[in-house]
Amino acid sequence: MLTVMSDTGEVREAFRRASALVADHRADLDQAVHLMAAHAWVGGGAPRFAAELARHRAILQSCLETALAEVSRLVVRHGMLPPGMPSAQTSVTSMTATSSAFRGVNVETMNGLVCSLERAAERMSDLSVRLHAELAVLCLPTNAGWDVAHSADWARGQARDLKRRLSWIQRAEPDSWTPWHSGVVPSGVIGFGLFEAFAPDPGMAAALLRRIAAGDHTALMAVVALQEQGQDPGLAARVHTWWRGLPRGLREQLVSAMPQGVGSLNGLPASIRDRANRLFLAMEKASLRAESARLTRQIAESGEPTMFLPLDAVLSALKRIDMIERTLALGGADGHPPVFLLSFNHAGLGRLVVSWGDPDTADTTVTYVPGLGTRLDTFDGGVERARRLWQQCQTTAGDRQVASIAWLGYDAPQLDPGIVSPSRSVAMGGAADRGAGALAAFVDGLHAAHQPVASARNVLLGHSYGSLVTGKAAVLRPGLLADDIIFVGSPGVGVEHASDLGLAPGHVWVGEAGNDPVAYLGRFAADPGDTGFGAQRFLVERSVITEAHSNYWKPYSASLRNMAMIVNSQYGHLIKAEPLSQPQLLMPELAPPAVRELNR
Amino acid sequence: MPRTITQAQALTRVEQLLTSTASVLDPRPRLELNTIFPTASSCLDPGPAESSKQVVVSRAYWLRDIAAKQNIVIAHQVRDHWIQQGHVITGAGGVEAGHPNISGETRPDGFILALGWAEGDRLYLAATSPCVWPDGTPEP
Repeated sequence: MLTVMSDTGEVREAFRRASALVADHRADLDQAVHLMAAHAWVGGGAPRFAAELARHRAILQSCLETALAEVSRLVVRHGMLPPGMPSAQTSVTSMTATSSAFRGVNVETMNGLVCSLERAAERMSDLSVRLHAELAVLCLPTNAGWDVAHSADWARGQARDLKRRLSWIQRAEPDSWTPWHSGVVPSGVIGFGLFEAFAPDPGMAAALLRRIAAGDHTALMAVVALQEQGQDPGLAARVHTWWRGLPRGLREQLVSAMPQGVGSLNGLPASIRDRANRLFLAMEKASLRAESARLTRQIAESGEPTMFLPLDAVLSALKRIDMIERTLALGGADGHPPVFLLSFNHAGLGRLVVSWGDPDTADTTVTYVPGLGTRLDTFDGGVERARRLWQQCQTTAGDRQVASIAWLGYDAPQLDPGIVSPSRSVAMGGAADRGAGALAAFVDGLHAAHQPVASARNVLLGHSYGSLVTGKAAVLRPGLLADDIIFVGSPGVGVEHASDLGLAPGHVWVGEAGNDPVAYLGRFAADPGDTGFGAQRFLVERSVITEAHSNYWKPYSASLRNMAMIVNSQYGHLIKAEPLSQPQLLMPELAPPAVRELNR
Repeated sequence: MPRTITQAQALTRVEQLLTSTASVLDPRPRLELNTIFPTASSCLDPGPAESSKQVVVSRAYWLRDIAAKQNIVIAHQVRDHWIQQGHVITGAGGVEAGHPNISGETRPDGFILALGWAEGDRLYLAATSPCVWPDGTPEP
């Protein structure tokens, strides 16, 4: 029954009640907004959810303000002075966590968010009823009540959805190779698991992943192709979250059924990729051997010389597989760390990504990006470089664990350094752009698959042309790629200044051997060795006695030791060039022989 | 390609460099072999007069029974010994902080010399040969 209020006393009372509602309810969504502001950094759907939540808080406060204003106008219409109005605004401060790509999130905190939303929904429902009643009795518009009810429903629905997702996250089934921790989860699991409904999905990866789970191989190849482009920084976290949520039996099935694709998915645990790739390696070996036997028989039977070409191709592929097997055999023997086969493909120039040590648990992971002329056939050299870096790092790292990765994940230009000229730069830049996308995606995978530990570190080491790939990858992932980047023998890294790479100042390092020809080739933007570039230079050994080449990886050389110290963040111990007590030629190989003789 | 010393000769030289250095140190350290690197590694990135079929020989020893506060003293002794032997000090870092890292090169044969510091306040001595043919003679 509606009663028109005309009594000034009753209007004053109504205003007092409305003011109380404002004071009691204006902060209903504050705690949730505070929690979300502190966690939007996890990416995925979190920023959009945080924005939605903030919008509903703004609606709540605006409704309270409107309602109170209406009642206040009524007070004035009754001949009273305009009453003092409590503000409907509150401020929410949030400290942003210092960024660390490996930081995890405590599930309990997210539980707190769910509870906070549930509580807010209850309170806002209650508010909407009372607000509606107060306004109706005064014959004022009741929109504010309806709008608050809407937001209350939203909060209730979100709380329900988040609760369900959180419990699904906590129920992830471990298997022998991946003990999922349920207390602290990788940030990507929050961004793409808890807040998946709000997560951007430019490549429609969610739909593709569902189809992979149903056994669709084409969908798997599509995700791998998306990955190669490196356009979506969230893809690896999304893949990790998806894998984690699959039933254990299904994961097993996918590894067995589609080992090559599964083995190359960034975001999957290293141990799973290793298993899948070794399985694929064995399958390829068997199939190539069968093919070799068949071709040999055909040649013997038909005597056709044209058969030799395909046989040759098969034998080359078998040689590549043999090289990989020999590398794998080193793992865990003679003090070597375990070897993880993270990716391989023997087609074309080939692909091989091998980690010495487990990149998912290491305190520091360093990835070596090779340069000109690199291809699978000769990448045992790259694998050896990564191994030596591991050895030098572990020598001085104490209890901290290091993982050292050799990454042949792109088609490196195969040109002989002697014939490279600046006019070829544009054509060569294309390979670096493609490589950068693949490298950025690979590093996304390292971050997504790592056990959530805020203190973990990621370092990249770009060698010759690989330094251009690395520089471009850094630009693709501003502030997210690595804690330190090291360039050796670099002809340029694609930016004019070290700060353009997006790392904290002082974390871009350049070493150059005085007589390394690649460093003096055609330039790709500024020379990173120039002081104007703003990188930290470190000494690499350049022999004063022999005409030494780029021996950056010689055991116990200043260059290998310095690279290891940067990886270990032992920045204060770096070996700096000693002022020479007698004049020495800086580039003896350029001096005429008579002058060199003087220098002995 | 020129002949070189053999792998065995290189190891002898490496050992001699390390033990002669350790012998002048006071306090005298106990040497413990650090096997993280193999003794022979391939000649990666060979220079114009080198070949990937050559090897480099290296060895490292932890210097045991040295108290952390003696690190600086030891570092100076190592450095002085290498200079006195006619070798070149090519670089140093962290010495006065007690985390010494010194690099040197021998004359006339161009072996790498290293004194290094590891977490846990441990020191090591190491030496690495230039690229050599395993048995001294160039392979085809």
